[in-house]
Amino acid sequence: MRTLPRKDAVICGVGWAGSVVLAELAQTGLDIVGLERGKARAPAPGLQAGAIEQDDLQGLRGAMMQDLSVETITHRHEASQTARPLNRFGAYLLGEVVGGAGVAWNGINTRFNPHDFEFRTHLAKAGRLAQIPDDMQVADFGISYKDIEADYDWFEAITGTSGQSGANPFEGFRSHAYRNPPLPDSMSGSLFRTAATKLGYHPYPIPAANSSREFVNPLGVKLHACVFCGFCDRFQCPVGAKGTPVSAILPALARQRNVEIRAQSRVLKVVLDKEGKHARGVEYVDAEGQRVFQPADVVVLSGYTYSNTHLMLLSGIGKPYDPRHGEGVVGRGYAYHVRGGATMFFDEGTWINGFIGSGALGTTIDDFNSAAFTASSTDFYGGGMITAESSGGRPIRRMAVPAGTPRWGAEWKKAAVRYYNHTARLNVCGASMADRRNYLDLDPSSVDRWGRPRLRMTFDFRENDIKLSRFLTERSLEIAREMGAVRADGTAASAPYDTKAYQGSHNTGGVPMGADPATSAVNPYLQSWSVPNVFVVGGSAFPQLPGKNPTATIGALARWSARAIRERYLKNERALAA
Amino acid sequence: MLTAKEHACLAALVDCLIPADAIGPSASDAGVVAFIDGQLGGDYGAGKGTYLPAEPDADIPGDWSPRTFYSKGLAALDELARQSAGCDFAQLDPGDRHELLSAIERKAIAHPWIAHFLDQAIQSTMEGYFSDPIHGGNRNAGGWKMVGFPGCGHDYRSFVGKNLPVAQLVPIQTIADFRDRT
Repeated sequence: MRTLPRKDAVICGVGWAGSVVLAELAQTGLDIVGLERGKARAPAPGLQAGAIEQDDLQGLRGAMMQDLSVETITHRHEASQTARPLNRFGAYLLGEVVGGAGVAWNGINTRFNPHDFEFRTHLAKAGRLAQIPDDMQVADFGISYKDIEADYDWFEAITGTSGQSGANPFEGFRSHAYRNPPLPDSMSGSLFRTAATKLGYHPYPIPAANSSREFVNPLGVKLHACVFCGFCDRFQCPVGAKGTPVSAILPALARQRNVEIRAQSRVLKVVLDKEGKHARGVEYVDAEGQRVFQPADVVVLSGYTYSNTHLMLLSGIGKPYDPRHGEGVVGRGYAYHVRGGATMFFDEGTWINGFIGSGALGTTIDDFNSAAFTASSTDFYGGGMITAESSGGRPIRRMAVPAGTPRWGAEWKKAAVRYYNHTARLNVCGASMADRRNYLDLDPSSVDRWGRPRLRMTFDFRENDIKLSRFLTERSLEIAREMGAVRADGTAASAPYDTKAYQGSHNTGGVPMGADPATSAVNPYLQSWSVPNVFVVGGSAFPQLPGKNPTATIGALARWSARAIRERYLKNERALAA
Repeated sequence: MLTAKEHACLAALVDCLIPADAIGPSASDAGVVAFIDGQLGGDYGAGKGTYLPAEPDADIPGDWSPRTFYSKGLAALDELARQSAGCDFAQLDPGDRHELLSAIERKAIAHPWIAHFLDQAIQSTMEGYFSDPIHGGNRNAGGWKMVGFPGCGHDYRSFVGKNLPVAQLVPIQTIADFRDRT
C-alpha cells in the first residue's frame, strides 16, 4: 500500500459536517485534506440550462445518491431477525458527491430548542423521568444551547438563511437576526398561518436556507435569490439560491492553498497505533481503485451517520454497543424522525399550485416542541413540528388523490386531474427517542467488496413513535379543517417501518456525544473518548433526535467541534474532557 | 429491449392503468411503452446504482434488475391470463384485463410477487406519463397538460402565494426547449 505525505488533518467526508470543519480549520494555516467518496459537481447551471436540475426523472432516480452496488447497509426490524442488504433507496437518500447529502437537501434550517440539548434533565425536572419506558434511552447532549448559539448563527449566515426573527416564541435566544428576510407565504402556508393562529398556535415562516435575495455570506461567497422553480429537493439548486456546501463553502476553500479536496476517495478505516490509543491516519481507496495510506495528526470523521458509525466499528474505536443490556457506545442511539400529517384537498377555486415551491418554502409551528408541551403529561415523550410545506410538486413525485380512490384506471385519472393543483400537505416531523432495541452494528454475515463487514441497522418504529405520530396527525387534521380543506386524509406512521417509501433522510446517532463515557462515544467536543486525535462530527453525534430538521444542528456542532480543535486541541493535544 | 410479445403485454397493461378518455391520452398514446422500453434498455434497467446480490432470491423482486423483473412479470401476467381465460393478457378484452389486475391488487391471486409487479408497473407508468418528454414518455407534454403542470425552468416569484390558475398563465416548458435553444 502506497503511503502519501503526512497531513496535519484529514477530514473524512465532504458533506455539510466536513465542509464546515474544513472551513474552520482552513484558517489555522494547517495542511489539511478532505476525502470524499463521491465526484465533484459543477456549480449551478442556471435556471434554463436543460441540465439535470430540470430533470424530474433524474431527481426521482437519485442521480447524486450513494451507489448501493458499491456500498450498502443491511436492515432488520428486530435483533431476532436476519438482516437483508438494502437493494435500493426508499425511505431515505444518502449523498455520494462532493457536498454530500447537503447538495440535495431542502434547506429547512431549524435550530433545536434549548431544552432539546438537555432532554433527560428536562424530563427529570418535569417529574417524568421515572415513568419513561424501560427501553427508552433519553440522554443529554453534554452541551447547552448557549454553548453553540454562536455556531448556529454562523451556520445561518453561511447558508443565507431567510427567516423572521422572533416569530417563533419557543426557540432560544438569538445573538443576531436572520441575515435575509423571510420567504413569502405560499398559498398553503398562508392558509395554514390563518388557521393555526385561529386555533391558538404560533405559526412562523420555516427558516429557509433558500436565499430570499442576492446575498454575500461571511466567507465572501454569493448566493442568488430563490425563484421558487420547484426543483429543490433531490437537486442542486439550478440558480444557486440554496445554501449547500457546494454553493456556500467550497468556493471559498478553493482559494485556500492549504486545503485540498480529493474526490472519489473512499475511506476504509482509521489506522491506530499498536496500543489503540492514537490514530496514525486513514486507509482509503483512491479514484483508480488503489488502496493508499494517508498519515495525519488529526482525523475527523465527518460522513453521514452510517459512514461514521461504520468506520468507528471497523477501526475498533470505542466499545461497540450491545443491545442486550444496553451497554457499549458505538452504534447506540440510532434515531429516525417519525412522520405523519395530512393530505388536504381544496375546492376548485382554491389554487394551491403546489409546483411553485422551494425546498423550505412554507409555514410551521413549534407549539408541540415547546418546553411546556414536552414537560406536560401526554402519553408519549418528545414533540414535533407540523408544517405546511411547499417544496415543489413535480407530478412524478406528488400526485395526491383522496384515500379510497383507486391507484389506477379511469377513476384515478379523474381524481388526479381534479386535485393536482388543489392539494397540499401538512407534514409532521416527530422526535425519535433513542431506544435500546434500535442500533447499528457490524453484520457478521454480510461483507462488502473490500472484505469489510457491512453496517447493519436494527430499527423499527416503537410505541412512543406511533403515539407521537398519531397525536400530531390528529392536530394536523384539525388544522386542515380550519384551513378550509374539503377533505383531509391523515397519514399517521405505523410499524413495521417500511424501507421502501420515502420518509426523510433524517438518520442520526450511532456515535452519540455526551458528558458520560459510559453512554456516549464522543465527548462534548465530539472527540473520541478513547482515541483523542479522532473527532466524529455529524448527525451521528445526536443522542436522540428532537422533533426538528437536523441540518442546522449538524452545521453548528461541526463548527463547535472544529473551534475546539482549533482553539484548544491544537494548542495542547490531549483529551478535552475527562 | 422488449420482445414483440412483451411489448403487446406491456401496452395492454399500461393502458389498463391509464386508459384513453376525454380528459387525457392513454398511457401508450402518451409514449409510456416506449418510455419503459427505453428505461429497461438503459442504466436503470440494468440496475445501476442498486445492490443486486450475486445469488438473487427467486421470490424477492428487490434482488432483480428492473429488466429481469419486467421480463418475469410480463410472462407471469400472460401465464395468469392463460390459466383463467386460455389466452395471453393482451388478448383479453379490456374488462377482463381490469378484472385480473384488480384481483392481483386485492391479493386474490396466489403468487409470491405478482402484486409487487403491479406496484412496479404503476410506478413506471406514472414515471412515463409525467416525466419530462426528453425520456420518451409524456408525449407532447400530454400528461402535464392534463393535470396542469407547467414543467421546468420557471421563475415563479410573481406568483408565489397568489390564488390564481398559474398553470393557465405560463407556458409549458420542457428540457428540450432549453437544449434546442443553446
